Amino acid sequence: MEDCEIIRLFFERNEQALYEVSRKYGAYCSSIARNILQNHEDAEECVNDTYAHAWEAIPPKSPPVLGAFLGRITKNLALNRIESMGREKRGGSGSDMSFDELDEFVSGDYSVESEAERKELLAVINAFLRKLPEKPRNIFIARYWGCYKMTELAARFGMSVSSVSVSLTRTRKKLKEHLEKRGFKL
Amino acid sequence: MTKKQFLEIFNDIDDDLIKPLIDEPERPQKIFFSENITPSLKRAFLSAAAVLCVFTVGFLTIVKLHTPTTENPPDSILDNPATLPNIPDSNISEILSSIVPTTEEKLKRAELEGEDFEIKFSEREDYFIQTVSIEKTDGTDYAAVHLVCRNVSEENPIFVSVHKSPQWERTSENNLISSYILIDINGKISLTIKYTEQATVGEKYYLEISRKKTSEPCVITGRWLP
Repeated sequence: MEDCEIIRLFFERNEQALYEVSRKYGAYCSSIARNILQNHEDAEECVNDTYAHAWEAIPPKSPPVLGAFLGRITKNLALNRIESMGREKRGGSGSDMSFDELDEFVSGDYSVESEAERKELLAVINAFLRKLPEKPRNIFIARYWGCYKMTELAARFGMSVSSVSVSLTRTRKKLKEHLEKRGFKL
Repeated sequence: MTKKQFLEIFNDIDDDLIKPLIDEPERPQKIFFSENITPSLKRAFLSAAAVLCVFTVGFLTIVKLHTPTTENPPDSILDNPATLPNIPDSNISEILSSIVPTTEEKLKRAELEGEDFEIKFSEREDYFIQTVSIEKTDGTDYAAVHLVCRNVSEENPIFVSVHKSPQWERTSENNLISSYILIDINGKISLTIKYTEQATVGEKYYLEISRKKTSEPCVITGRWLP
């Protein structure tokens, strides 16, 4: 079923919408939740919560890309759950999902305080991503948005883990230079 | 900026940038490889499997080519020269040239007889047909088939039958037009086939020649001449 038809079902308060969402995006949302939570039961709960949140949010919201909307809800819920459980993201310190490689990317000295500055930074990141070649862009997004492990990225993109690592390192370096040229300190 | 803050900001990137991640189908469950096996090992394994497959297919093809079957009889005696009957080497080329007509010879014969025909030899048999010709007997309902065979005698006859379809396509005895047991002291055999009710002018017929009634025949196809 097309996204617009599913959203129409949401607006009609037809519970068939939840079935269609589950059928179309269930596997994708489960994948995001599992990537973050590393636990099947927690992930399933998280996905069910995603459907409940979507039911509450639509209407009034009418997301242009339903998949992205649901994925974002899933990711936020999973991260909140990690935080409330008092763990670091995905399996504790030193694990693949603690994003250790970002230690050199961000200094931790500065903070984006205002909403305006945040929006501006986001716009610059969006513009940077659009200029990237497709493959390194998708690897970067899958890693830092989809929270994929390095081994999963290697399998998904048909590369070795070291090649994925090199691609991410280069993209991070380019992004850092791109942001610093525009006056953003990380 | 902290890692957490960067990831939170990154979480809000435009939807269209995330779309490739959504559109990509769920990966199939890994069956053969665990995640601990490196891609280079996987590649090496798959390469070895591919090479093995190619060799297996090649081997089976060679075996099949060298194993004539009833369903797929060899088109020519040349398909399997290793199983030719005992003929002195010096005579082989001469005999083959007389058996297997060249395209030019076939055309000439077709012109002469008004119809082309194909000859399939069974190299499993110990008889050897050197020449075959089929001709219409003018003014009669008969067609004559002339065979020059080797190793045919009263004690060692060959069986000839005429059918409307080849042996491997025969469904009933209704296809049988006539059958003969042939002997010839001089090795020359002439067979006269009478047109019958089953045979229609222009229709294809099959002349099957075998050493025993049950053995795989040599098949000669032709058409009833007008």
